[in-house]
Amino acid sequence: MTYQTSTITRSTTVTHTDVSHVIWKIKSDMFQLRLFHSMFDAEYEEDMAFDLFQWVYRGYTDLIKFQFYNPTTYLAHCEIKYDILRGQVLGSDDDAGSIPFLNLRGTSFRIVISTSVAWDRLPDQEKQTFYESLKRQWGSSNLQLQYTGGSWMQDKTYSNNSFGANRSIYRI
Amino acid sequence: MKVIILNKGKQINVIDVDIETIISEAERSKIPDPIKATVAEIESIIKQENISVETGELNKMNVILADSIATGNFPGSIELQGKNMTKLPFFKRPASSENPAIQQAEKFFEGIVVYPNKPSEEIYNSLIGLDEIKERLVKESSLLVANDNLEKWSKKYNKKVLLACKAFERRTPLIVFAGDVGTGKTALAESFGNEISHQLRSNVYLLRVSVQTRGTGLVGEMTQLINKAFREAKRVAEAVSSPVILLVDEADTLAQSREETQMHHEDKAGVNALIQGIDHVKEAGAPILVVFCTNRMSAIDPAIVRRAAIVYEFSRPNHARLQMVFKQYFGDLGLTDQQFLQLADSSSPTADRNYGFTYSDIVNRVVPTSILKAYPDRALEFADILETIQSLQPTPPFQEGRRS
Repeated sequence: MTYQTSTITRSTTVTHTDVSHVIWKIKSDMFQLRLFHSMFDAEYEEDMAFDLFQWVYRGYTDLIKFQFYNPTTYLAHCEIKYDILRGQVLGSDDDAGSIPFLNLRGTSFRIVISTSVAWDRLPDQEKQTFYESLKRQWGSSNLQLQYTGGSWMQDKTYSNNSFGANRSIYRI
Repeated sequence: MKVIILNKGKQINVIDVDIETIISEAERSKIPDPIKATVAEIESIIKQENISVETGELNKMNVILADSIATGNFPGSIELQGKNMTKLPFFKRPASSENPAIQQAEKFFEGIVVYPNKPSEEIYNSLIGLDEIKERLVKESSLLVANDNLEKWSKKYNKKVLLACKAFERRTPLIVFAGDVGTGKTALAESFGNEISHQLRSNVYLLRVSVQTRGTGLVGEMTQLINKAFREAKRVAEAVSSPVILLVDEADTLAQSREETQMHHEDKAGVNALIQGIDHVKEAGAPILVVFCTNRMSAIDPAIVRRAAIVYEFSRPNHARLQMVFKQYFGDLGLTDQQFLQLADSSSPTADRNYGFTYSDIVNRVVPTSILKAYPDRALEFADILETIQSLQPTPPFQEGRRS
């Protein structure tokens, strides 16, 4: 995984119900990735939904990326990005989905999150305790993808109360 | 959810925690990680039962709660290894009145308390919701009056006296307790000496400076009185060879900022005397700890605040802590969790007033008024407490320009 720095300001209350709602939508996207593109198995989907809930609910990330890339050239073919938004009433809560139409054939897949300042300030012991609470092995990676010839489009918003995520898709 | 405390395989305590309320409060708290905040709150509840739990056990609870919140499946109970915190036996109260220095001091100070003593221990233990402050306060103030303990620790664990210890020693033995009315400042200031006494295995003396120290307004009187307060404190410390806590309650009356335009020249001289007294205590290395309690932090002279080793800020109890306070006083009435929730709801801020009941409101007004509703003809009931809360108004927050 690649960790980059970003900032979270906890200005309003985010409840676990709000986070669960949005993570459920992201999990539904993952379900389509599994169903239509066989990117991973059901266990991975369950585990990742659990882990992403932890990263988001505990304020340690505000950016989640599903990356699909050429494993040889590291050229990004497609990316589904979720910008986590806290303390804003987004108004809309779209249905999850619209994943089947992506062309993901021959690509490798990984999930990347950007860590927050709260994470950076966490003592190593507490980071270790956090890792122990996760289902999957997480670690840092320096792998940088090439973004050439594609474009971004913001296509969906998932939200509950003053918490949400804007989904954008990059594709060639 | 129940937190079961085990020690060497035996169950030593079972603590009921309202996990949903705690999580909800944690999500509203300023701590970025709500699970970390939840664990801290549960740890604080466990400590109120006089039980200590090691970090490893807290990490275990952290992982369990992380899983439970994500899945929505909370276990009925969590088992943690812990142990009862032992208290040292009480020391014999010295015949203080036989000591001439004490006799002289008794004429000057508003009150003198010798620790340890049972009433102070009870007051200290009854102050719930202040665990973080208590823990650091006792540790830090013990070191402020007994620096050599820090050196002993450093030599034991670092095999030398660390440079950092020197910086610690240079701190002024002054603690400021600031915050809203009825939040436990004075009660804690008057009782924490008991814990220091246990920690240092020594008697500790509390000398309370009366606001009368301000005098009658004669020029030079306040300066003289302040000088005398520090002189007497030093004399007592030397006479009894024990640490002394010099408590200045409503410190703003003595230590108000020299920048305030309405301040009398004599007041300004008094503040200077106070600063000199604090500095003198530090330089002389006398085992004297000066404690200021104030509702008006902004009114205290910045030079005094700057010198403080620690400034503790006190606030009114939140919803979870209100429940804890009610459970502490009415926990044996057989009330349901729902009823405790109702009591906490009724004493929380409302749409019409943005402040709830203080600790002092509950202990000194709600509890006795509820009892008197039932006494002497019938049993105390939930309705008595609820009606009492609904009939009372919480103490309004302290506002600048108005004395509490």
